[in-house]
Amino acid sequence: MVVKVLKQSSIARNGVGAFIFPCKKITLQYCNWGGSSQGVRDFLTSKRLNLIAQKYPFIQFEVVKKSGHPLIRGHYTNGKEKVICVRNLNIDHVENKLKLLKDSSGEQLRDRVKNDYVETLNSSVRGVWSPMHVDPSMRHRV
Amino acid sequence: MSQLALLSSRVLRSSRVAAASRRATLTASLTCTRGINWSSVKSQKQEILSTPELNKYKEYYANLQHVINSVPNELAAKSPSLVTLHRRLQLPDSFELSTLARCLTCRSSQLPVDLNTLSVGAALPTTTPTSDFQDNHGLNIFGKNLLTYYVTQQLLAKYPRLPTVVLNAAVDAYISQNVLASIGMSWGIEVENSSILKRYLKEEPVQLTLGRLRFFNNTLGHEDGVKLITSHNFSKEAAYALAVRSIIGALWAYTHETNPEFAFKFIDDHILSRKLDVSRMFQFEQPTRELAVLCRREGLERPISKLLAESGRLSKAPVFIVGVFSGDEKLGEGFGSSLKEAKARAATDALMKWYCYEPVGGQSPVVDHGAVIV
Amino acid sequence: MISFTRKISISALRYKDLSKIVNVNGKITELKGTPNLYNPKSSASNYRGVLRAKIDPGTYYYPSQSSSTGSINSETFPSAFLPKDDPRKQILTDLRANDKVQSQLAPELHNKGEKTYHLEPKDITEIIALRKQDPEKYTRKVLAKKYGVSPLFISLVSSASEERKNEMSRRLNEIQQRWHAKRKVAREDRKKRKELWYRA
Repeated sequence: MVVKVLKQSSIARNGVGAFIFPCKKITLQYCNWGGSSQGVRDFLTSKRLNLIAQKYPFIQFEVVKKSGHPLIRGHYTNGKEKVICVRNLNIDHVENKLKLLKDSSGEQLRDRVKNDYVETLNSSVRGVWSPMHVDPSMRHRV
Repeated sequence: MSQLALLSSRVLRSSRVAAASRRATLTASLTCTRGINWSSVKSQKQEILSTPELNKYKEYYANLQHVINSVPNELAAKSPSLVTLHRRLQLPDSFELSTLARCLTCRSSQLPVDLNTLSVGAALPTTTPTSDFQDNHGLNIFGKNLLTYYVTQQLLAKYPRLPTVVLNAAVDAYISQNVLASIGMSWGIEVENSSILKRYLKEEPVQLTLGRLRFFNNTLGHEDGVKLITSHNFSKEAAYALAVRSIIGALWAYTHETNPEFAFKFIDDHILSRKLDVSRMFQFEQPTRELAVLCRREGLERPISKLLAESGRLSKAPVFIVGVFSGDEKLGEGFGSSLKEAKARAATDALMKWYCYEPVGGQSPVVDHGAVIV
Repeated sequence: MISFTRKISISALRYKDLSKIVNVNGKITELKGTPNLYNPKSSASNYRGVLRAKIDPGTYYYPSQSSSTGSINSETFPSAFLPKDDPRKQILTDLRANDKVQSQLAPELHNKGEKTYHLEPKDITEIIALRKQDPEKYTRKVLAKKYGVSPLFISLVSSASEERKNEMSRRLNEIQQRWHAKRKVAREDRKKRKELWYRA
């Protein structure tokens, strides 16, 4: 007889209210011997990683020594991870790749078709146009 | 910076062969890992098993247990994921890292008493038993009450006319277990998945586990093909929700004297900022009758439905627009492919506009007479 | 409610003093439809005409040409639903002046008139007795006609006997048994569709 309820869940909107930085952890994997890791080794011995870590204290940095080509791996709060192989890259390019991973949201990148640039949870403020609600003086008559 | 964890020795220091042989000796010397846990918990009777390697493992285990039971702040500061979590949530400096670590320890990580007989088959290789005072049980209860109080209060202030069932469902939509679990995941809290033996073998520093969510996560399920049916409270979702609630509870405890609004601002930012459309939660049964009762109660004229526009009445796809009027005022409007449908929708729309009323600032508190009873 | 037409955003840079554009005191002009350089009816969907429309920069009231069903934006609220001290009450009353015209012109769907309350307690006992005595003859419809009330009222004051209810449900069940599978599905679907009427 009275109102019944339809169960709903609230939907997250990161950035409305609090903003949680999507990148939570970056793993740098390098080889102590291989030549392709030279750039990463330069990067690790320079001050750059320290500076980045100080600037972004909410990102955890992990350095792993493992044979093979060097990798940078970003872990994100949505549970995904992104990996970039940085073999034979010099120190600047390694830093750029690291920043690329840091700035990524962790979402799968995709092409947007034309007119699909806006994504929103809100319904239209002015509603959907309806011919029945046009002012009578402006109505189209057949 | 302590966040910069240089874990260069992820792989064993010795060569692969040596590591393999070490593992072999370990497995040969032990009957099973469970036996070790239990022997260290209960008593040290089984002295027969003592080998140098085993003693080292026992030491590691005891150390781990000690660290989790009384988290020293200086050790917690060396746990990168704990420190980064603290910064990510922008918790105040007064919020101690040891407390944050405690928020991540669920009571379910304790060895249940009735599992003392090994025949039950529960393997708990990932968790260590903790003392009663160092888990998040109490903080969770406090955080839950705090959340319920504040979210209900805010929702009532925003929508003073919501019927009780809808209000409860709306509160649930913000702070139910699965919503809190997804908030916990979006905070970047990680679960402790590797067993203690594995951690020991790769020589992981004990403090690393402090930054991870510790709960009863049985590894039997995915490793041995044996699924242990656990109760609801032992799920991963429940553990995440416990952690989120206890962090909020602890935050209030740390800040209520210096900055009483801080914890509530935190709830505003992280929980109430989520999107919820309350108008989607209503399901009426007899909206026309309910609207008539409402109008009588509020001293408005009897609602009358009037046809505002129509198209194609005799066609296959007619459209009718019906407005429900009280006197000269339109209360609601509905559309439909039959007059009945349009009328029902108009009444539903009017009721929705009544219940979802939002007051603005500078207004005296809205007195609501409750939901309409037909 | 009050929409700043695109002119403001385009020409705001040219007009350094916005107070020249925003008319605070005078009456706000209402736009009946989207301004268009060409014929507003036949070229309604020509966006070039919309972009180049000759319209003075300023504030206009441009009500949205859409159904307000399910919207809980405050401008779609009836002012009768607002408490007395709500500052929006007067604005809404002004904006919705058209309601009165609609209300007077629109035909009513079915107006049963004011309630008459013409039945006495003895009539009610009579209805109950009649319904018990011969449910086959004195159905809801017949009683409603006899006493000048609605069938709903009859079911409010009296109820059929258990045997009668069982018999009717048995007959209904029998009929439904004969339904073709497709009709069964169609009836189920209709029920589900009807539930959608009662939610936003």
